[in-house]
Amino acid sequence: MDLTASEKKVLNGISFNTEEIESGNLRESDAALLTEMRAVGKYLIEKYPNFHFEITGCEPKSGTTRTYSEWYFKSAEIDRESAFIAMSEEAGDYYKIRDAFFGQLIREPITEKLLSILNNANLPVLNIEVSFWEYLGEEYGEEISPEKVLTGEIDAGNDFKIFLDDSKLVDKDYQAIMEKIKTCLQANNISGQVYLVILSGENADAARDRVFSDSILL
Amino acid sequence: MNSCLSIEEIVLINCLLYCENLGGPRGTFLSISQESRTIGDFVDGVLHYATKIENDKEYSTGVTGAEYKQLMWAIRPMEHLKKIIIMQVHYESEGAGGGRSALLFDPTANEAIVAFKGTQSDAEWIDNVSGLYQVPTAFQDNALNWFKSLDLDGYDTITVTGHSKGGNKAKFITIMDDRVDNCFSFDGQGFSDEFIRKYSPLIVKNQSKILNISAESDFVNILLNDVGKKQFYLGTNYGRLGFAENHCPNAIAFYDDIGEMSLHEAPGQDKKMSALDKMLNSFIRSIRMSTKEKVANMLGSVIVNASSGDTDKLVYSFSDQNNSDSAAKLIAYTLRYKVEKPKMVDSVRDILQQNGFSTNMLGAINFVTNYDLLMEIIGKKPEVVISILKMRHTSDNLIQFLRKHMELFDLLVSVSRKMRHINPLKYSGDDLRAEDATIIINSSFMISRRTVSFLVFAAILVTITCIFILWLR
Repeated sequence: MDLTASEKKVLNGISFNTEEIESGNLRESDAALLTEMRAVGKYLIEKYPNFHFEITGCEPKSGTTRTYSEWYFKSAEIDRESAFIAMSEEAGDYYKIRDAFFGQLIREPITEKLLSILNNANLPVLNIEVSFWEYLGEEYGEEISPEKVLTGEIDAGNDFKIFLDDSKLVDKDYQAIMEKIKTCLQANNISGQVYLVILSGENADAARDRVFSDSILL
Repeated sequence: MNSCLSIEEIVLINCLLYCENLGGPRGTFLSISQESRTIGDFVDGVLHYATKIENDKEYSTGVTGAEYKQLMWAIRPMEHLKKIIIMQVHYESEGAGGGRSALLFDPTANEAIVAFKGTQSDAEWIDNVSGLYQVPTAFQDNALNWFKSLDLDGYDTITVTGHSKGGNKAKFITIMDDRVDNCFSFDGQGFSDEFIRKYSPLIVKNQSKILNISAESDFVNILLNDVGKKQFYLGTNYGRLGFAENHCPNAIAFYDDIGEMSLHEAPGQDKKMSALDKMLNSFIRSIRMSTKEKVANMLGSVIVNASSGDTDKLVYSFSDQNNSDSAAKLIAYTLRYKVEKPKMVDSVRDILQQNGFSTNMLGAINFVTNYDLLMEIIGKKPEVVISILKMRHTSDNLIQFLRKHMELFDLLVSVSRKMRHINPLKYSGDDLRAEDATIIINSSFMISRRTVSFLVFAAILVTITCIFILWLR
């Protein structure tokens, strides 16, 4: 079996059979992992044709309580220290694969939309961070709609962190501010969870200068 | 050590690192989406969905939903711990096998806490055992690189911690990076002799910052040479995994009637584990560097299959062609060791029994020990051996076991051959101390004996070369 240098590197990290991997004469368990790795690679290429990926590692399900393996990958187009993760689960003779890369494609438009809503509500926004709890499968590729994700039509597990400037808040009733945020986001059909962090001033440190923080479920 | 964290808080943080999908994806602690939240927010979030957590389901190896809920309720009244903020979550991207870690911030003490999860899958053991022949390992390097990339200016205190492999990474970083003030390694394995010799001056310099939090019966903290102070803690009752649960991060947590968590110091290490520790050290020292990789892979394979609780798989990992020579070395060594220190085999038997394994294998091993020469001659004829065993009224269990695993006979012959060439007392089983591998001139100038040896060798070589050149002229 012909293996690329990258495939050998990944397999060597998760298998004791170094010699067989080097020679391409793989044992059954390693051949299965290679098949799974290639399935994940193919899935990513087909799902995101405008991006280039390299699978850099794996935490196989073997020895864990998980029913899926986690495959770590990087994208040539995205400069990020942390790896992205795809999950693959055996489903008969194929692998059911999901990933979290879609977040990169919709983060910006969603942030802009949220900023616009909160600015219109006269809230002194310092920063908004958008992330997603769910991993989505092949049905949501590069064309995934940010609007449908925002409204929850596509359940991506929206998680919004909103950082406000306390020095510009006239009303210091933080519970009332939470309610105001909840009302204006719900009025725009936004779904998900909000984590509100109020910082002491414009140049405040997000950890050291925290005045208040709490969660809002939309 | 100047951390404001209590040992209980350290243990709980390390337990949190393993939380995965507790009641849904929001119940994963090491998720990038948790960044900016406090530990209190995470715990409240998990308890909000507590009804979705199945009590009997294992959410990480050996830890059930009920145990995680117990842990969350224990954290709830701990105001200091709850205020700690999850600043950054990192998914390892270089080098296979995964690895997750987090930068936490304690605002009440302006303390940075860098915490490493021990990767849970079988794949973890590939890097774990590579510590026998690689200095440093790929995972250690990755962890250090990420640690160095963090902006840690402005913190009054820098603390690193981790459980299992995470504990080993925490110790490695403390040795390699002087910025670390405190290291709490929770059941993390130690380092090879080669590592201790290579980095002895750095170890001598930084080891006072390290505290090993060790479960008295854990089987990972016994691996290789310890660095730093050590405190043993009593373990709790075992669940489904039996003995293997000694390595679970909640194994030393006790709860009272109102759910408050406490730890109880143990007077020392469990004697069985201490004996196993010494035997493994001396065995590893008996292996040549050129074959250490094979032996390491065999050990990893054995540990992975042992933790699965499957006797057949364990036998296979010994008889597998890639491992059989190394396995024969280990078994032969153990048997010779047994002659000198008979209690050692009792320890192994206890451990296997507690872990639900068949101890028939030890019966076969006893036979080899007593009749090694005979075994070498007739071992290639399994039926003859079985007939002799029957004549000696050996138990039916052992006979059935051997019939089921005929592949073991080649291994047993190999063991018999190797036994006579082993002197188990040749190598010490004690941990190698960095002080013993270092020449200390003063507190700011230390040099490893390894480096001194190299310099002396180089000096001799240069001198001989000069004399030779002069002689030629």
